[in-house]
Amino acid sequence: MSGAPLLDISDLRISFKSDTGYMNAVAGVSLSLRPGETVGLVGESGCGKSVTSLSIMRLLPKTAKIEGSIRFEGKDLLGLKESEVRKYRGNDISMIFQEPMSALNPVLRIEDQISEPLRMHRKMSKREMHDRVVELLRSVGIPRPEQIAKEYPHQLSGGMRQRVMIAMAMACEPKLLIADEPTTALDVTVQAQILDLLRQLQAKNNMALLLITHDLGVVAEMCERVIVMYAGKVVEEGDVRSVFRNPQHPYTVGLLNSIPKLTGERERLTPIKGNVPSLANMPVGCRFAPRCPFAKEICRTEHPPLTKVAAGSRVSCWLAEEAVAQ
Amino acid sequence: MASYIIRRLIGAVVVLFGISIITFIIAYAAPGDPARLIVGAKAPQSVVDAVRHNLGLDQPLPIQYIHYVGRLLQGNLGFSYHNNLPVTELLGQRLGNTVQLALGGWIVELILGIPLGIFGALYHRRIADYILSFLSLVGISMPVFVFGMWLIQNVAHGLGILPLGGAGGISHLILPSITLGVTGMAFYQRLMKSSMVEVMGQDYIRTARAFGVPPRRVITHHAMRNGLLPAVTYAGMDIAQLFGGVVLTETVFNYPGIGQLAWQSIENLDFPVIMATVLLAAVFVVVANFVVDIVYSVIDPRISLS
Repeated sequence: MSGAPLLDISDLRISFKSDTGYMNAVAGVSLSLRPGETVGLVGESGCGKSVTSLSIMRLLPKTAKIEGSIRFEGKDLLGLKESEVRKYRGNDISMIFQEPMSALNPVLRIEDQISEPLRMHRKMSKREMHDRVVELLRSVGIPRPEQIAKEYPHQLSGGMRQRVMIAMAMACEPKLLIADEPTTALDVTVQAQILDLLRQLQAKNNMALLLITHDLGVVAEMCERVIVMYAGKVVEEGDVRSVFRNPQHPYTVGLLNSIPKLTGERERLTPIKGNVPSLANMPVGCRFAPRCPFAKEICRTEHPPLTKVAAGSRVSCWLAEEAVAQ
Repeated sequence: MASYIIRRLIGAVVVLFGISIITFIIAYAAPGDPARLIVGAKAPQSVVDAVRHNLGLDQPLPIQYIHYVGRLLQGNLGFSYHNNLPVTELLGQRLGNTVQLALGGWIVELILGIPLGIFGALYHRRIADYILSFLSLVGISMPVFVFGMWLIQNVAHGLGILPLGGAGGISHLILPSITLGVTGMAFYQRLMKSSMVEVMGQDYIRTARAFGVPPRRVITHHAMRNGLLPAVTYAGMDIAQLFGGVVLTETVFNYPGIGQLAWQSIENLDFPVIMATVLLAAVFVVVANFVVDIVYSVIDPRISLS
């Protein structure tokens, strides 16, 4: 596990312009991915994980103000012109989305949609393009690819549509795949198939995978490292094993406690009390402090830095800070 | 597909039948005596009665209607008292003119309205959009007779380059088409804009962008077909109405079309012609609806005709 990072995001801050000023959605997120690595980005809805993922390819609306840096193979994507970023989209970096129903265009044939990235980034004849589409459909496990290529999204099931979406993402053999809740809208059995498919494709192409999810089960199954976000900030990150076995941040502990256990004695789930703070009204200190059962005076006034607590694990919490100091 | 067409045809017959009954009753209920109108105010009552008998107007209403429908089925739309000509001949003389003018106006509406709508969607809530919306509001609010007369005064008369009115060749179509187009395009602009704004916010547009599709192609290839449906519906209704006769524009430009004929016939209580023009308009609406449904299924594969 060494070498230069493929994707390196540092101190990413994103705010949206609104009638009353700027609303801060992401406040200083840093993360990096090495080639071939799988990293999970987890958190509740509204914590900024999707916004972070969309900002990588600059897909946020014009009302968003993005600061910090996003380096891909050393090049800062935020400094590029729109036409230059476009060369990365669907080419070196691909993205798949949560809703395979709405993410595919209802009036275009599957073939037209999958060949779109090829048309944008590869010089190919119609014939070559068609063959490539069929090959891609076959590689994502679609039966009768020749026939499915001619169909429309509404003729396919949810799982099939997500496979089509993945085929489209794989068209130009990306070095990085960003998957934003790829299985959330699917049945449990189909979820497992899709995750399996992603893992296979990843191993085959040595592709890095940034998996955005709220499902810790998916993270445990797929990822090497995990980054936990809360209210626009990273609260804890580390390799999956240490974070799951020995969570340091009270929020991570809370998240893990709210997953039902399949083995041992059944207990009542412990929810995290309270709600995610609104963008307009962020706490001054640690953003989790109002919901944290262990919050102290300093937690309410100053934001804790992200510090290393153990090998391969960093956390942003005053309590952990103290534990290290002692 | 075949069963769909048959069902639609049966539906069309029912609609036209209903419309013929309604227009027939309205014509009967309208004040004025056609027989008296034909022979003039000074003719003796006996002549009026004879004419009334000859026209079958002394028979009970249901019998008159049955005779009317019987003639209709043979392609006989009746006889115009006022013009002293069979109605079919009258319509035949003018239908071509109206179809030309209607198509001309319709094309101007589409050429202006649809691109301006797309443009407005791209500049949604920016200065260009506000200016455009204001101009289209002006267009929509401007009466045909004001704008038409303005064109006659300033372009036809003032510049002396185009005919003042009447029919005959392309040059006669230009000003009335522009009048129709400018006053009618705002509907297309509004419809197209709001549906494009909605489409541009859809997930599949984000998908297209996420795969490196440049903005122009996002619009032409990914968004436009999805955004066209409301405009297609309106375009169908619109052309049907235009074919049925553009009364105001034809009157302003003294253009010998169905609309002008309808207007003159109403003034003269020329019932056979009035009923024929209403029925003709109804036929156009029914046909246009059918064509719109077929165009729908071509544009959006989720819509099937069965």
